[in-house]
Parts: sequence; structure tokens; C-alpha cells
Amino acid sequence: MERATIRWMTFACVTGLILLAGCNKAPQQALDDASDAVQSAESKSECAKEKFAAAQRLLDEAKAHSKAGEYDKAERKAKAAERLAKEARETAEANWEDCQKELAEQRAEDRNGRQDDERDRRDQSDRQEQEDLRLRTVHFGYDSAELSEEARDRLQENVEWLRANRDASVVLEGHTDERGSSQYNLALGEQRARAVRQYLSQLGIDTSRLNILSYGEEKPVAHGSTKSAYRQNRRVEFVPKN
Amino acid sequence: MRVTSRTIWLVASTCLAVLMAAAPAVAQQSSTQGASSSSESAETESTDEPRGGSSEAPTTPGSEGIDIDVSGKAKRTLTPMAIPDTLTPAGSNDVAAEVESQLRRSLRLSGFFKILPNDSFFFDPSEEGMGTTDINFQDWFNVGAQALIKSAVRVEGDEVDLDLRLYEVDSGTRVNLDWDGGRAKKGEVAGQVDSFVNAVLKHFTGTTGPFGTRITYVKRDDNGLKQIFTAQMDGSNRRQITDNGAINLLPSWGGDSVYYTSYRDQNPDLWRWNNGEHSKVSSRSGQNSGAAWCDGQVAVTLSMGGQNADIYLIDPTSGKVQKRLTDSWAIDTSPTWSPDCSKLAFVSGRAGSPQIYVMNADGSGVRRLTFEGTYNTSPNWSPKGEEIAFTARDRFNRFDIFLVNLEGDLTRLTQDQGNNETPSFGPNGRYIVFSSDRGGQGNRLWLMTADGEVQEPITPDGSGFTDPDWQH
Repeated sequence: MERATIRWMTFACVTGLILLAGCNKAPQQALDDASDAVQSAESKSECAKEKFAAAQRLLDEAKAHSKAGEYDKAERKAKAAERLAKEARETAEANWEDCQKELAEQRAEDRNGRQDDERDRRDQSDRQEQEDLRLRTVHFGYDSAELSEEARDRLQENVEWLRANRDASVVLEGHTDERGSSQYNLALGEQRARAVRQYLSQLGIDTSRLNILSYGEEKPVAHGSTKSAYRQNRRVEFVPKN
Repeated sequence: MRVTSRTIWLVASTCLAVLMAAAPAVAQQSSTQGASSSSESAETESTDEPRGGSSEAPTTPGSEGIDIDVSGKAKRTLTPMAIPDTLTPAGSNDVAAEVESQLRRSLRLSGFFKILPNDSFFFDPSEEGMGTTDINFQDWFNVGAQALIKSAVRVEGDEVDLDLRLYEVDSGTRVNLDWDGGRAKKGEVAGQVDSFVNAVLKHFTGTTGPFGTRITYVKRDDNGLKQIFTAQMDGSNRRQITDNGAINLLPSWGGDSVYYTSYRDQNPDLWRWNNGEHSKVSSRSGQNSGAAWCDGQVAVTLSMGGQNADIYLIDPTSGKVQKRLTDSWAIDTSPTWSPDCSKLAFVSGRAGSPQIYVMNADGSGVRRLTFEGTYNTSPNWSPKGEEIAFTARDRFNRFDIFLVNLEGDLTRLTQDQGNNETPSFGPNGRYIVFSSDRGGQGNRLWLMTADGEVQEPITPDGSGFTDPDWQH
């Protein structure tokens, strides 16, 4: 294409646009009417959300067209916005009561939901604390009431719990595995609980908060006659006392 | 001196074990149902050589299928005895079958007789009468019987005429027994048979039998809780005496009462069952357990708030402490009285492991009895006075029953038959009831002669039977 042709076409277009714009002015009336309709629908918007939102969108687009000098498009969209806004208002007024009831329920649910979330968050943090400070069971060797290094470490954690719960008393429940004399085991369970109490006392816990109860071999946590079951059953449990 | 005698015993028993292991009778051990693989059970089959040439094992296909286990060292000769079906001269009745089965079971349990199998009789004993002149003693001699028990039952309504007779086959004579049975109510028949069997035992051994005496024991219930029961020493006539939704343990007789420890009030308290009534005797914080009764005196283990377990004398009904008998840093528990109530044997951990000790009834003169092994518990003093049965853990970590005399000499009563625990002597010291898990059926109660030679289950059904105590 030749340069002269391009230049001419550009000229013609620009002239045309200027002419077109010059021929129309902004559809101010239509835009004002639409704005009024949207505003008057706004108070009822929550009961005709979609129509109201669509009306508002059309109004915004109309204004944009108007600014851009696209007055035809602006006027058409402004009129559509006005119609939709009026419909929205009518729809909202038609089912106002039902709509409000639903909304009330909705708000109630939302509130509960927030409370649940809140509680969950609180619980979680509580659990976290308990995780940090829980009463741990200590284990023993065969026919022994001696505290191992591991048992002492665990007891240290129980001491933290007892310090954090100053009003609490605990029952130190002594247990044995199933082997041997049930009467001797009753005494052995006591001996284990006593060893724990002595150690806690050395760490500054008042012994009046530490009660001893031996179950001997009578309350196994693990059943069966295996080494693993025996190991689990030779223990002192901390049971908070009410 | 003590070491010397123990050494001799050890050497002797080792030699015996070697000899026995080489004996050809090993094949016979398969006839003993509960017996495990060891040569122990086989040993004594070879010692069982009754007159009459029969060499069958004591259990027979026709019997009730009770396990029998003969083990031990000394020779015990079982007298071959025939107990034909009970006659019913006035027409068949349901009592006869019970009488004949009770006679056979009791006399086998007694450990002195080999009951001949019924199918070894080549004639029909039901055609033979009760009287001396009716009996063809040559026939009974030919089947190998040395003793013959004839029985007849006639039922009239609720009344039963019970005719039980013991004959010596060799001499063809009826033995005049210290038994005056005769007419009884239906519910009393079993008791009459017990006293007849006791009289038979007195005739053969000079000492009356234990039948009809009672034991108490622990049985685990369906909820996993332990409950206290009583029964006759042969396992019959069981009665549950606690049903309180709690753990109950360590029952023992005190006269006609049963003392036991129960957690029903969240502490191991000592309770007393008497004539159907339960009363709390001692409820000090900590354990109140293992009452041992002797002529109105009660020794128990108390720990006074979970402090160290020691042995005390308490009032048998009020539980008031009369005297503290032990005061060591270690566990002292499981007291058992000498028959004259002058001494107590007990368990103490004062040497670093549980061992058997004796002391005077006032707590003085403490002396250690057991030096072998590292876990000796559950002593029970024989009514004969010289020996104490106890549970020992051997070097294979098995629990077995031993005897120790006051010089510290040991006799092993059980071996290679699972775990055997908590022995309790019968009234005349000739039998011991204990718990055993042999046969892989859980803990059951067993009866053995005090020499350990004859051992039979008295609770062949179920499991969870422990801690028997025999009423004296």
C-alpha cells in the first residue's frame, strides 16, 4: 500500500471519529436515572444480590463508555442498568420476609462457625500445652524398683506437670508383670511407687500430693506372656486424683 | 553340714536322672496326656510295677480322661484296684453312675491305687452280687486286682440306700472299714462316698484321706476380674463367694472363714467371708493382704500407706494391730504358720532377692532357709511340721514347687511341666494343691501327693485358676 493512501485513511478515520463524537453528547439523563435506580435498590440489595450486582456492573460500564465518548453504548447500558436495578428492588421487596429469615439463620450459623473455629483453636493450644506437660508412665526392670536414667528423665517431665498444677494430687499406681507370686508382686508394685515418690520428693514435690496404690500383677496394660508385654506392665502410672 | 547334705542330694538325683534317661520305659510316656517332653514322666512309669503283670499306664481309655502325671524319684507302688459298675438291684437310677465315677476318680486322685480298666474284666461283674460268697475272687485275681470295691445303690424317692464294700482279693475277705454309710438323702451321697474313700485310704495307709475337705482359690471371671471361690479339694462343689465388680485375691482359710484381699473400696483391704457375710477386717492405706490363721491368731502383710511391706499380728475380726513382727528395709510378706503356731515362715527380700525365712511367733530368731535360686516365694508350712513347700524360679526361669526342711535341704516336686506355683498342703500334709499352666491351657489347679509322684488336675475345665489355699 502506498503511503499517501495510509495517510488519507488515517485522516478520514480521525475526522470521522471527531465528527461522530461531535454529533452526540453524553447521555447524562440516562446515566442519572440508572444511578438513582441503583441507589434506591441498594438498601434491598441483599435480597436480590445477583440482579443488583448486575445492575451496578452495567452502570459502571455505562459510565466508562460515556467517559470514552462512546455515548450510544453508554446510553444503552445505562438504561439496562436502570431496568435491572428496578427489577432487583422489586424482586427483593417481593420475598423480603423469607429472605430476611434466611439471612438471620445464615448469620447465626456463621457466628457459631466462628465460635467453633475459635474453640478449636483454643483446644489445640490446650492440647499443645498438655503435650508439653503430661503425666508419663515410668517402667522398671525385672524384679526391680530401681529408677533407670530414662525413668528419671520422664519423671522430670511429671515434675513440670506437678509444678504447673499446684493443686493437683496424683496416685502413683505401681504394677508388675504377671510372673511370680501375686502377693510378692503386690509389695513390689508398692516398692516401685515408693521409689518414684522418693525421687519426686527429692525434686521438691510435697509427698502429701503423692499417694501410693499397688495393683501388683492384677492390672496389666499388655496381655500375653511375652517379654514386650512384661516390659510394658512393669510400671508406675500417674493418675490425677479428684 | 547343710551344704554337704545338699551336695549329696544333688549328686544322687543327677545320677538317678542319667540312669532313668537311659531306661527303656521311655516309650510309655506318650500315655500321659498332660506330660511334656521330658524324661521325668517316663522315669516313674518304670517304677510302677503292680502285681498281676499288668504294666498299663494308670490312665485308661475307659476313664474320664483326667491327666495323670507321675514324676519323682522314690518308688511308689500303686495297688491295683477293681471298681466295677455300681449295681442297681431295684432298677436303674441316676445315682449309681455318679457313685461309680466318684469312687474311681477319688481313688485314682488319692495316688495310692491303679484303677483297672473296666474293659479288662473278661466276665460280667454286673451278674455278681455284693456278698463274700457271691464273689468269684479267682476272676478278680486273674484280672490283676488286689483290692475290689463293690457298690450298690437303691433309690426310694429322695432317700438312697448306699452299699459300699471293700474286699481284699488275695484273702477273699471283706475289710471292716471305719465307715457306717447306709441310708442317705440324695444330696448327701457324694459326702458319703467321700468318707468311704477316706476310710479305704485309712485302711491301706493308716491315715484318713482328704476327701470332702475344702479349698479356696482365685478364678478370673469373664470381665477379667478375679473372684474368690471355694470348692472341695477334688474340684467339686464350687461356690463363688465374691461378686463385687472388683479385683479380689489371696484367699486363705481362717477356721470356717475365708480371708481375702479386695479392691472393692479402691484400696487392697483385707476382708473376711463368714457364713455368707462379708466384713472388712483391715483397711489401712496400702496393702492389707495374705492373712495366715493359726488357732485364732492372724498374721498379715501391711504396708501402712504404701510404706514398706511388713508382717504384723492383727485381731482376727477387728483388724487391730497386736504386734509388728518384722521391720526390715526390704519386702517382708507371705507369712505361714508352723502347725503348733510357734513359728512363721515368710518371704523377705532383705538379701536382695526374695527368699524363705523362718522366725518365732513373736518376730524373734529370724533365720534364712533358702540359699539357692534368686526368687523363692509363696511358702506353705506342712501340717506335719518338718517341711515348707514354696515356689522357686529355676535357672531356666521356670517356676516350680520345692520343699525345704528346717535344715535348708531341698526336694524338688515339679519339673519340666510348665510353671507350677503357690503350693498349699492339705490337712494331714500328705497332699498339696497348687496352680500349674502345664499343657498350655492356662492356669489350672492340680493336686499332687506331697512327694510329687502323682499329680492330677482338679479343675480340668477352663483356666485362670490360681492361689489355692487348703482348709485345715
